[in-house]
Amino acid sequence: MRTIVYIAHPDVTKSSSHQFLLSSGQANSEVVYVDLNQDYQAQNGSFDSQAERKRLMEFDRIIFQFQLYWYQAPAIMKIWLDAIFDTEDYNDAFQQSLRSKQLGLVVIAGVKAEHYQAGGREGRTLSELLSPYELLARHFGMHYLMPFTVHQFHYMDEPQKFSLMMRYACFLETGEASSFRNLQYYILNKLENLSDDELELSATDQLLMDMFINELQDQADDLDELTDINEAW
Amino acid sequence: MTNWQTDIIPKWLEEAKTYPTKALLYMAGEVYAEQARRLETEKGKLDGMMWSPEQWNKI
Repeated sequence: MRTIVYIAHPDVTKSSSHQFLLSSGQANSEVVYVDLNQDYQAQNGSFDSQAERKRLMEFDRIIFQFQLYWYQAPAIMKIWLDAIFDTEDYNDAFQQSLRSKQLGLVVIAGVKAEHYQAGGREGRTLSELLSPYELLARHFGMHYLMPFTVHQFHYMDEPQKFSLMMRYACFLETGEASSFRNLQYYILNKLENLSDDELELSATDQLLMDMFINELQDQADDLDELTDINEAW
Repeated sequence: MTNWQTDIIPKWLEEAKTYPTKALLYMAGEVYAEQARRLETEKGKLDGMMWSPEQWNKI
């Protein structure tokens, strides 16, 4: 499945959170990134709608990645959406091709997750704020993915950033990061494919690594089996 | 029994050549620990259901 990520930010080079996610995605997956603002500036303040639609049709999973500014995506996201989804411009083939695609969001928020709820400081859930994207997906018959959210990136310590990197990469690769089952198989697959360029182990450590991977796999199998039994009971 | 998170993974983290490799190894340790926690929970759930007289009547 091919994934394209559209980043909406006034200047990605100055955003440490976007830079971190960008590096995470590039290091762990084959996704294609598009910096919307850079493209817009390069084309003298416009988007080539036809070329953009043609590129979009080549991918199966479409991700919009942005920071919330006053509860919304940066303006460049809307400019791009209006250019691409101009009802007087696009044709049936484009509309038809969207039906088999997934639409996902990566949303970066400066405040804690718990503030986005009824009674919380912000008083609305992120699902409510992001509902226009869900409706867009529904309108075009796309499969809307559960959004991947990042809260208070600047307060994250190293272990939290390690976790963010892998969960984000898992989201880009599989379209899902909230399922533990999915995450464990993603990690297992990555471990099995570690190269010497990434981690050069002694013969003893390699044996230990094989044991570790086997134990991870065994626990994953046991967990699947027990969960199935409990659900069927 | 090997304690992967405290005895082995920290050493691999030091030897990892890239940041994404460190992230992967760290996350693998976290996943391992979470699997163990979930296995205990599922086993407890199963035990609880097996000892429920309500469930005995269904057999």
